[in-house]
Parts: sequence; structure tokens; C-alpha cells
Amino acid sequence: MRIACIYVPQLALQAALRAAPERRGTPVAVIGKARRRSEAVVAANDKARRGGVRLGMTAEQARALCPEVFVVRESPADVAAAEAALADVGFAFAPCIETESARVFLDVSDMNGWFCSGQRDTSPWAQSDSIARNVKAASSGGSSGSSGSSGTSRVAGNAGRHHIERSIAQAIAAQATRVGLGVRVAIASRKSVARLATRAREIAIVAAGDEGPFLAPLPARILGPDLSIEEAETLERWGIGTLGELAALPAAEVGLRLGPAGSRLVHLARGTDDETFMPRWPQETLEESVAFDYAIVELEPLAFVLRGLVDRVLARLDLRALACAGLTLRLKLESGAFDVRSVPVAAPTREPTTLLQLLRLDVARRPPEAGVVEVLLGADPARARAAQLDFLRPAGPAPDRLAATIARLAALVGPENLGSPRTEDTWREEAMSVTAYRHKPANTVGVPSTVTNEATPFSSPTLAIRRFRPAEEVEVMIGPDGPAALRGRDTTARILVAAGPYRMSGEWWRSQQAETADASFSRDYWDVHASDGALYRLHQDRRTGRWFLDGYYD
Amino acid sequence: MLDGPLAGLVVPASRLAIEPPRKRLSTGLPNLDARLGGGWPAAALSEITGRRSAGRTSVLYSALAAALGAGHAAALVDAPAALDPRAAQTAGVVLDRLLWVHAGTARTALHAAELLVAAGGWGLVALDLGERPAHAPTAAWQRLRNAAARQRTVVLVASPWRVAGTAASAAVIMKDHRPRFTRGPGAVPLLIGLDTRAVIDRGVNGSGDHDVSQSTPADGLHFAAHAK
Repeated sequence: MRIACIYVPQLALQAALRAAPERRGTPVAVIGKARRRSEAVVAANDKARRGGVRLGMTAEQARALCPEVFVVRESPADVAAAEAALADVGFAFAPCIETESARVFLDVSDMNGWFCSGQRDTSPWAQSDSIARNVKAASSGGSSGSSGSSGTSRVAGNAGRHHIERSIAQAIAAQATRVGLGVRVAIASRKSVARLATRAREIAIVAAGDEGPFLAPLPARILGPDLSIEEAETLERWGIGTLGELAALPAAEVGLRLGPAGSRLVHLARGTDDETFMPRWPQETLEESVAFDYAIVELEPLAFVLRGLVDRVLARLDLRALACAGLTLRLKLESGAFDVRSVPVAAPTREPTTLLQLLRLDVARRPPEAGVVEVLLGADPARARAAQLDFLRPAGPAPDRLAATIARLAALVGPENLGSPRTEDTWREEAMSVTAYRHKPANTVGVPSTVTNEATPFSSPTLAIRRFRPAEEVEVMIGPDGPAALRGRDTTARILVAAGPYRMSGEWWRSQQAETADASFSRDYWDVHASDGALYRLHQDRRTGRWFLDGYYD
Repeated sequence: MLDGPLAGLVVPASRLAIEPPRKRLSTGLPNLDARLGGGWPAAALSEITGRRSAGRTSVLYSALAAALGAGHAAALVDAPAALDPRAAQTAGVVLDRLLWVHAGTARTALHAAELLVAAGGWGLVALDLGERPAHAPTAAWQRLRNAAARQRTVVLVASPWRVAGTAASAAVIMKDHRPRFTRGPGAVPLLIGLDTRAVIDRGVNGSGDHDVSQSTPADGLHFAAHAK
């Protein structure tokens, strides 16, 4: 197995720069909780260091030495988002990965076919059309290296693999750059060796069997977090300066003196430590966040921040060749409460303008009750739905544009006034409901249900009725054959012909009180031809005796 | 004929290129299709007008049913919420595939229609302005027409009277309607349908012939009342 380790040096600093990309290229120092002091500089970039800023300084000391330094407080949310973005870099190359603080491990054993020598594009997905060709080429190259009998061919095979793995490492580093992270990448046969190698070089390829020679010249302090202060002091007393010197000691004797940790240090230095690779699958949602030093109360500044978050979310989704199927916006208010909104997306999309528009409309429709001090944006990943064009059928609206249009319409008329109309399972004539609109091409529409009475074009056209919503109460004069005249808000007419009554009642299990939407009903319906030329449908409520104009045939 | 320097610049009318016949979207009514030269002109704005019970809503639902049946995406922007889903379904409208927008006012309906048409991909956007459509500026109708032309969408406006003016490429007036009753077995009148006439008020090619007198018996339409 070949394991790649991706390491983000100075994670706190990179997370801060990722949240404030405009600060790149300027002196930046991150303050956080240090060991001895309450708050001190925990990370600084090269420009800040050149200005005299050192770890452990207070913010005031840093500003005194380097007045132009931008001091930013360490944000756990930014760090978590950066780590999640790092994980997405791993998922861009492998279906499952192992994560630890500032590091990601992934298995790259099967990726040689994608990165043959001579590859120029750093994105593996951009090579999808040539995967088959590359795999073929790699397999032929691999066979010459592994099964060749001559030493020359073995050397050539190893060199080829080394070159391919370097390409993989460079591709990983390039993908990390896309999500705003500068990383170190090492590929080795053991997880612990890969981890140590990232501490030594920007890109390191350690061939199988070459672990010892690779690690030997490295200083012992590179063991870093694996080495306690006491162990470091002991090794210094022993005169051990490099990993090679440590590896030369008998592991059992070191273990006798330093305990089990000492034995492990020797195995680490030899490159023989067997640390298990424990990968995991990607999380369902991904989240980006940004915290402010002061509360934001207006929409425009908030929209500016949302734009950055949307871009970061989409960059991460793009790494995994996924699109956004829904957004969850969590606004932390000054009061400490969270304003949580779920923003549905009609179709998975990677269009930043569409997503931003949906967010803006949602915030504009229901502004937060107080100033916002932190914004967390979650996205539901989904496979992007490609629009399938058809030679024989017209293309419908583009899914992403449809989503944005429906969102804008919802903001204009209200979400309850928009969608696909539905008939209700009731005898109440005016009943209707609305469901969310989903564009369905004609060939995917299901078989019509039994209640559907679909007419084909050019079948006998049917007479439509226009509803008054709500039904208009009218005065009706009764003659010997039924209604003889009616008077309403806009209508006063004699009735020339009255067809009816058609008695209709239902929903007896509901309240028997006054006729309301949730009460039972009992009505006598009439179709009447009035002297104003219109053909009305009206009904009399049998309980109250009141008359209502339901609409007219048209 | 022009002489001098302009002679070569102006093409005589007799040599103008013949405009290719405009594509049509069926109205769903053979009589009306024949009168309109194949249906509603594509990528254009058309109007159906008529007083109460003249049959404009039935024509509107027929157009929606025909568009959906042909595989187009269709939307109904309904200012007064006059839609009766059962009637629309009976007319052949597949409700699952219809986007319905209750706009509230004619002005909002116009805005909503503009948004929809601008999004592109719609075969038919029907605009029901209700009983008393508020006056909208001519520029708004021209904008809607231009959007329809750009996005290859048929925009169909239903209102009691003509509102879109010269922005409409075709206009149909529903008139001379007459309800048809019959006596049932118990001597009770029964509504069986509506006879009406569709008169082309604006020319087939959008030229505005305004010749209402050219209506013929073929313009008669009958809409059957469905069983109660």
C-alpha cells in the first residue's frame, strides 16, 4: 500500500488567511491561547516574522515591532472549515481518507494509471477521457518494472513509479491551492514515514524499502509531537542528533530506559513503525463559516460575506465533482441565539450567482432580528444533474436558472402562491392545493392516475370555469323555477335559464358549525345564464340559506 | 426609385427577402389553429380577449394542454387565482407539469411573467390578468415581447380587453357566445356546453389587419360542459 500524507503547516494561520484572502501577501499574526500566557501569537507568516514578530509575543508586542501586521484571533470555526476543506482535497483523490489534526492520509496505490509520465493537467478528473489510455500505458510500464529480470528494467520501473507519484503529490498540492491551502505532501509505504516526511520536505516520495536511508539524515527533533520534552532531553544527553543515530540503537534497550514510547521512537526512526491506516467515508454535509469582530446589521455587507462562503463551499464541492442540493444558513446573533434557515435549491447546482441569490432572497424576506456576529453556511452535496437534451422533445428550463427563478418568484408572490396545482380528494368544488414545482420532461411523467381525465389535443374541448376566491356572497331572488335574479358587488342581472339544483354535501365528520374552510358543507348548486350574458355557477348554503357566486363558465 | 448615392443602399420592397414562416404552437383547437395559420406564433406575444363567459379561459386551458402535450414546459401566471384545477385537468392540462403562480395583481403578474420568460426554456407562459387589468406601460409589454422572442417562448395574455397593443403578434377576440342547455328527463334544464366564436383581431403575421368582418362560420367553437 502506498499512503499519501497531506499536511497543512501553520493551520491556524492558513485558516485565518482562507477566511480573509485579501490579507495574503501582508504580515499576518494569529493570536490564541498559548501555553504560558492567556493570549499570544501562535502563528505568523514569513512577512510578519521578517518584521520581528515571534511566537509567544502578545498582540501589542507584535504591533510595536511590526506596525503593519494584521493580528487576527484564532477561530475554531475557521480552523474546522480549513480541516474540512483539507479532507475534501483528500476525497478528491480517494473515496475514503483518514484525518488527524492538520493532516489527511489516503491510499494512492491505485492511482498510478491516472498519472502517467508526461501528464500536464493536475486535475485527475480532467483526465477522465484518457483514463483508459493511461491505465493501459501504466500497466505496460508497471509490468516492465516489476517482472523484468534485468536490474536496468527494475531501476527504470522504480524511476517511473517515483515520477508518477511525484505527479500525484503535485496534483494534490495543486488541488489544495484551489481551496486556499498550502500543503506539504509525502507518499510512502507506511503512514508514520509519510507523516515524518511531510515535516521534512514540501513534496517527498519515499520508495518502499528506502525508508531507513531517507529518514537517517533527518534531525531527531523532527519527531516533534511524538517526542515528549523529557524524551527529547534524554536523547540530547545521549548525544542523539539524527534519526539515523536513534535508529542504530537497540529498540529493546531504549524501551527499557524510556518505556514503550522509547521503543516506538526507534521504530519510527527506522521507518518500521506499523501504524494502522483507518480511513473513513465523507460526511453528508459540508460547512463553511466566518466570524466577525463586530455585528453586521445590513443586508449588503452580509451578502458580501455570503459570496465568499458560497465560493468556498463550491470550491470544495467541485473537488468532489458534486453540486449543491440545498443550503443551511446559520446566523449567530449578538444575543448568542442562532437564526437557522434552510434554503432549498430546486436542482443541484454549482452556480455561485444562483446560490447567492437564493440566500439573499431568503435573508431579505426575513431579516435577522439582531446583528449577526458569525455566519455558518452548510451545503448538501449531490450529484450535478446534467440537462439531457432530446432530438424530438423541446428542452425545458435549465435546472439552476429554474431554481433561481422560482426563488425570485417566491419572493415576489410568496412561496404559498407558487407551484404545481393539485386537486383535493373532496367534493368541495373550490378545493385546491399547491405542491412544489419540479420540472419533469414529458417522457418521464408517470402514468396518469385514475382520477386524471387527460384529454388529448383536438379531443372535444371542455368548458372551463373561473373561480372567485373566495366565493362572493350575493343576493338572489327566487322564482317558481329557482333563482330569478341576482345582485352582487359587480353583477346585477336577471336569470334567463337556471339549471339545477345539484345537491352536494360532504365532510360530515367535521364541525357542523358555520360554513368555514374546516367545516362540513351542504350546498345546492345552480348553473345560471344571466341577462348580462355570463354563465354563472352559484350555490346556496343549505344550513344558513346564504347564496354565493362561485365563479363563471368561460 | 432613389437616384444618386442612396440608390445602391436602399433595397426596393419588391426585392426584400421573404420572411420565413413563423413556427406555431398549437392552440389545441383545430378551428382556431386553422384561423391562426397553425397556432399561436412562436417566440411572440399573443392575446385572447373576451367578456365573461365568452370562452377565453377555455381557449387558454386548451393552449396549456396542447403545449404540455407537445412536451413543452408551461406556466400559468394567474392574477386573480381563478384557476380551477379540476376544469384544467379535464381540459387536458397535466397539473404535475404546470407551474402556477398566483400573482394577486395584474402588475405583479406582468412582473412574474417577465421573470419566467427571461429564465428561458418555457414553451408557453400564459398570463391571466383577471377581470380588471390595470394599465401597464407599453414599454413593459414590449419588454415582455422582446424577452419572448429572445427565449423562443409563446406568451399568451388573457384579459377582458386588449392590453398589449402593438406588442401582440396575434390577438383573438372571443365573442357571440351562447350557452347551450337541454332539458333533462325530469324537465330540468341541464348545461351541456357553450358555443362561441373566435375572431382574429390581429393578423396572422402580426401585421394588424383588424378585419373583424372576415370572421367566417369556421370560427365557431364549442366547449362541452363536463358532467357534474
